[in-house]
Amino acid sequence: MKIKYLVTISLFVFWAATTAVLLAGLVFYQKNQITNFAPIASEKTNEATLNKGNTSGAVSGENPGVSTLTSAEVAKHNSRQSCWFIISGKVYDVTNFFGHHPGGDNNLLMNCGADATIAFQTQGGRGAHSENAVNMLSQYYIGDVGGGITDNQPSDTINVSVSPLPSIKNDDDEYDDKNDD
Amino acid sequence: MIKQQKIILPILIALFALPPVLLWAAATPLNVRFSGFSASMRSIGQILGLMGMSLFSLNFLLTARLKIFDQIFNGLNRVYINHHFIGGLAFSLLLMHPLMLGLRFLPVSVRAVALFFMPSFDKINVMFGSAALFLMMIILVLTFYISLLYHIWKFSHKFMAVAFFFAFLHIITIESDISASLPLRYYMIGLASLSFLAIGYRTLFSNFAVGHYRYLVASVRNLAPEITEISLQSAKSAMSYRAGQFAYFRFKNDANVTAEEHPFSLASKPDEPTLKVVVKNLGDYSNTLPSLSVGTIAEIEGPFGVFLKDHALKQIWIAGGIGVTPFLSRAHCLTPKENVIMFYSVRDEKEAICRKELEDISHSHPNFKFILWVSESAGRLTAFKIKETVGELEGLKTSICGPLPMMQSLKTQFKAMGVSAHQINTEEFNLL
Repeated sequence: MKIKYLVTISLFVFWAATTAVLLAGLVFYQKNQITNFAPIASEKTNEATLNKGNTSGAVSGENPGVSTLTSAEVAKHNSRQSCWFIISGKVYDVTNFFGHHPGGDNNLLMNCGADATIAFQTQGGRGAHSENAVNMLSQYYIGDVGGGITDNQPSDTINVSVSPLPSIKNDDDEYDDKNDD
Repeated sequence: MIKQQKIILPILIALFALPPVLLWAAATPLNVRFSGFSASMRSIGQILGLMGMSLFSLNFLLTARLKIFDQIFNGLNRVYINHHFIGGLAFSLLLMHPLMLGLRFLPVSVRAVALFFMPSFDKINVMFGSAALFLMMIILVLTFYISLLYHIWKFSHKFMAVAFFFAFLHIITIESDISASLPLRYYMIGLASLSFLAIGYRTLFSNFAVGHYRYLVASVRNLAPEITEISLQSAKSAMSYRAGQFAYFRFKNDANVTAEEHPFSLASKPDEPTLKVVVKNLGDYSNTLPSLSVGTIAEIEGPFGVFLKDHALKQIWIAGGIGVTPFLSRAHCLTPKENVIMFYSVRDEKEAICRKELEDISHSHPNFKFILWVSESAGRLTAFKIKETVGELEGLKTSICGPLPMMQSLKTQFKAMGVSAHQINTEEFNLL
């Protein structure tokens, strides 16, 4: 009889947790209010046509007047205050992702302003990022290298917009970083 | 005996579920495995999966019904008691496995966790695991919570092999420690292969792999309302058995009785050429037995069981209703040195089917005392009343076989009187 209690409790916990998570994560999910910049559309010009009236946005700390997303431009955003990097020719502004990265903030910081393609694909040699991670990454996309800043989703990544909800535990001690600042 | 029963279960669980966890721990430093919330949740999820799958595999090995299990488990019927426990434990562990793995995304967002739980056909290796888990869930809900007719329940339970197959596909396709660590891979796949072998032995290959004795039904007698005695003669070689043992019977090609396998205690004397079982009509299957035809072929697998195996000098036998059958066989084999007082408890005198046979033995054997206890008139048989009749219970070996509530309550009463548990032997039919 005792084992029946364990089975019952396990079943209950399983269904309660998955139902709660699925409801909270999918059904009650609020669309991201933050908008990206207005698209430059198919233009590949050097003209800056940025809409400065954006709300907080996934793009923060951007340089008004920047035209093309070159490596040099990306390299300027190499700090905690404004962190951009390149993965497979696409530029991502992950400034708002600090505090949320399961691998810790240091691993993000190390790649700010640089090409993070290999680091992302191999997780620093410990395996690749999961499909979940790839989905999450797409919300931080701001444009292609050599193109302008756009609010279009990258065409070849899975189009799932995920809102960066506040983390449950804002403890940097949770991650394996030695120094967090 | 009780000590052996109590420790066999934890030993079995440790023997099968610990090695994969140790191999997993050896593959990567623990400080990396538990370096933060997410990493720790992932590690816990992996451990639960490895333990759950190992115990799931073990459970199939237990169904192989090998003769050696009689010695290891002190009676084959106890294998199924352990199978039931291990099955529930494995399932609980496997339920928590995806939960922990998903919760590792909690620091990112609740939505990230939700996305992990969403099924996706891109992740076919995960889908195998989900299929296994959901199939297990359905089958175990039918086992734990719903009362089905026995043969329907048994049929549903066979699909566990399908769930196990999906679980196997999951562990060989998932990119995790099993794919990365060779020793772990060998262990999990090796164990699963043994389980598939056990499944095959009991299903596809059972006809030629499992040993059966061929007998023919010689007579079918009605001993009392709802009690049938079936006598059988061997067609080829006779099965040799000890008094108190049981065997599995399958009656083939009979017009009235289905070819299901059922265990029955052997009521006949072991040296006799005729095999006898006495069955009470308790359910769908046993209700058809009075219409069994003479000449029907019976396939018998056995013998199993360790009940009444030892020859203690002073014994008390307590039989309740149809539980008298193993004692009947044993009473024919009493050695002169054995001192036995037997209580045969029945509701009314009509139920006392082998009363005469037992009374005859008590007249011929100097140290065998037979007491018929009719609860209708004498009240329920209790340990206290037994003690009153017998006197001192010290040094006495007590054997009980009857309805489960009766066995359990008598055992409790004896223990309350200071009789140690290992002096009490019971024969549970229920989980066979």
